[in-house]
Amino acid sequence: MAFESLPGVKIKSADGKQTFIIADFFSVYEKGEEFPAVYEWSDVVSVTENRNGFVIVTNGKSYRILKNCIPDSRVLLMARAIIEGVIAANPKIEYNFGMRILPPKTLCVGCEIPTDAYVASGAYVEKEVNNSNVVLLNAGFDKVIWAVFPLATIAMFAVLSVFWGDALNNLIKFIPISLFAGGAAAMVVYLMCAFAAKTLYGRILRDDPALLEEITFVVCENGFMAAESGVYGFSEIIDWNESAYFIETNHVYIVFKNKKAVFWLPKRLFPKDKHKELSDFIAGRLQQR
Amino acid sequence: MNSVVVSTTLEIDGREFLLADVSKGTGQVGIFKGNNAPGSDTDVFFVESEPIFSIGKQNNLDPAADKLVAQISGIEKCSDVVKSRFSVVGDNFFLYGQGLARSAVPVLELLSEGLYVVHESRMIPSDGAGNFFWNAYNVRHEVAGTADRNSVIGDANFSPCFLIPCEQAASYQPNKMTALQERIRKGKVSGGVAYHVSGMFSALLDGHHTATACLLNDKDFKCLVIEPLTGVIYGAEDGGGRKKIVALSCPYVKIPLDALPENTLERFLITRKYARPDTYGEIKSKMSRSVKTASKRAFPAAVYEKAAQLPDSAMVESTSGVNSLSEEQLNALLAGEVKYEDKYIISNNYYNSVITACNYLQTADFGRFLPFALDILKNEDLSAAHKYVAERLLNIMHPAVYGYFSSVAAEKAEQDGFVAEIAHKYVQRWNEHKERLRQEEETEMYARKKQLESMQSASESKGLATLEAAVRDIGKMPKK
Repeated sequence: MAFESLPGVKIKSADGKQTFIIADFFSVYEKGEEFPAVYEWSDVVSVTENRNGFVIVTNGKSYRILKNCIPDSRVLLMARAIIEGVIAANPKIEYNFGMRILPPKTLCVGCEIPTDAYVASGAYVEKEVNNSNVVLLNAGFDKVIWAVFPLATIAMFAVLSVFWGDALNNLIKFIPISLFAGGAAAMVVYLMCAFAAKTLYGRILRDDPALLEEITFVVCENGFMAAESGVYGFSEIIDWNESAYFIETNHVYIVFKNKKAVFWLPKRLFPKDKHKELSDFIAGRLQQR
Repeated sequence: MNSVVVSTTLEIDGREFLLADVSKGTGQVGIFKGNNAPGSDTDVFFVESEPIFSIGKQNNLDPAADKLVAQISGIEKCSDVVKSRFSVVGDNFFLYGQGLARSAVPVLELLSEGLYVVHESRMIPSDGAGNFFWNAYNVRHEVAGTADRNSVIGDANFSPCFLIPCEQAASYQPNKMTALQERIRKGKVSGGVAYHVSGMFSALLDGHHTATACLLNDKDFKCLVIEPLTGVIYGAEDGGGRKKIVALSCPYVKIPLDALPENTLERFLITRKYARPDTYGEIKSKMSRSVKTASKRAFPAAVYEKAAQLPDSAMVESTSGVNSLSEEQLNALLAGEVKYEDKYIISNNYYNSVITACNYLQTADFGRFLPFALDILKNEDLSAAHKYVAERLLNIMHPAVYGYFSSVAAEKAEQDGFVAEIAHKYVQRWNEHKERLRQEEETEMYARKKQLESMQSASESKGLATLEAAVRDIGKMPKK
């Protein structure tokens, strides 16, 4: 189990009718009941974290812990780390969560961080997140954007042929118009991608308060890790085998698992003369794209 | 120290103990997760910044699996402040008769946050397999009785009586033994302090020499045992298929929820089993470069012989799992039955029933053990259990056992087979044992003779001195 040294968390519902304790057990004190309902985590069927809070479903009962009842973001992040730690040990628990920039701690395993690990800490900066999102979306839509251009060109040519007629005699007019229309369509798609990337930051921020927290980053021979400094105890890591490849942008290294970015490592947290070394270190363990 | 210890004395199932709630604990003694890499699960018992020993499973997370134990370092490397706290606790409780609540505080303040049960128990100074505890864990190996869950004991109460040393064997000082043995003879024996780590095993924080002296003098070695209260007992399922916790548990006692002081349950639920000590980094670095000190002093041979005769983990688990065995039940077992009056005597497995009965009797009712064990060996129909029972008797130096084995050795001198083999081994051991006793008697007689001679010469010289003094006195007397 990961994050098992974190102290347990107690959360009271807004109406005071329920008190939840998230620790080695999941316990619920109902007002008026003498003893709490205590669940082993293996009795929990699913956990969902959404914008409003956590929904914990046990065998036969569902509990809603609203985020506005949680006194501060540190308590929320501790509760999340404990839950993700127990899910790492009980993978049968279904876990759903919203937009994140940090890797889910369900991927973590216990591990000693070697003394020669690359370690840095600092908060993410909006600019580098946006920039990287643009790069990511562009990379994702790369083939689509190139497909939009010929498809839009062909479509425009077909439209012109239908409405104007006599395509063979009008080739000189139709071709430049179609090419221009294809290019314009590709440009619109590209701009939409850029806009979507910029709005992503706001969505992540709404879903995940960790985005504003100080994050500890670790890269070592055993794996990599990015976790809130307030909850991380330097004894958990995500194995390199949990990831597929990485890309390097001007601002960050991004590691992917199943085509999803799981680890964003800002370059600015390391001295410039270390960037090449760090890049080579990661490339020695993962394919670079 | 900022630790706050709130304690309550409770008595449940006839067991008196102290329930201590430690808050703001300094976490200088305890267990932390040393390595929880996939497929392995190793805990480290530490004191201050010293990793004392590791205890864990490898490639098997079954709670009924025994664990691997290895000593890493010793408590002798810790500060005198901490060591003196341990010895003060033992002395205050066992010598000066202070109550549990008052005596235990110096150690409780060193623990991390949580609930603890403190009680007095008789300990067995062995590794649960007949080896003397102090040097039994130098090499990492699987130790029987360390499993978190024991199918024989189930949810029954038991005391974690086997010991894992916190001092390295190199710190054994033979010159301490004479004084300690003298104190034991005078009945002024202190006890030890132990901390439950896993299954039937506790880490001995203080009292290594006392344990050795008690073993040598066939005296019970008692400890003040501290058990973290981390387990739970579930009741029957309710209508919705949900099981509710009905009690908090540690090996020594199961505490029903309604017996808990106010807010204790909430404290239990919010406290996590593993706390990370402030000295975590230091402990980890010491673990990677720990060098064990080799022992240059040998323990007395009698220590090993006596440790081999102590109850082992199988016996203790049988004693904990079986409440009583009537004469009729034993007779049914001897007749090859597993049931008596339509109820299973122990289990539906005959072999398991016989060995559990043997273990139970050997620990709890030795008077009935020997006839029962010998009856099994004499019954050819019960040959499945012969090897186990014969091995059980191998370390018991008793005329009745010798009588049986010597006749087997004489009858089956030419035969192969494990019982004959064990019989030959036993006869050899018996002769060695007798020889050792004879030598000890001679040594003792020689020592007594010497003592007598010295006393005589002392009284003679005293008599002479008295005579001289009388003569001097006579000389000083005024002449008539």
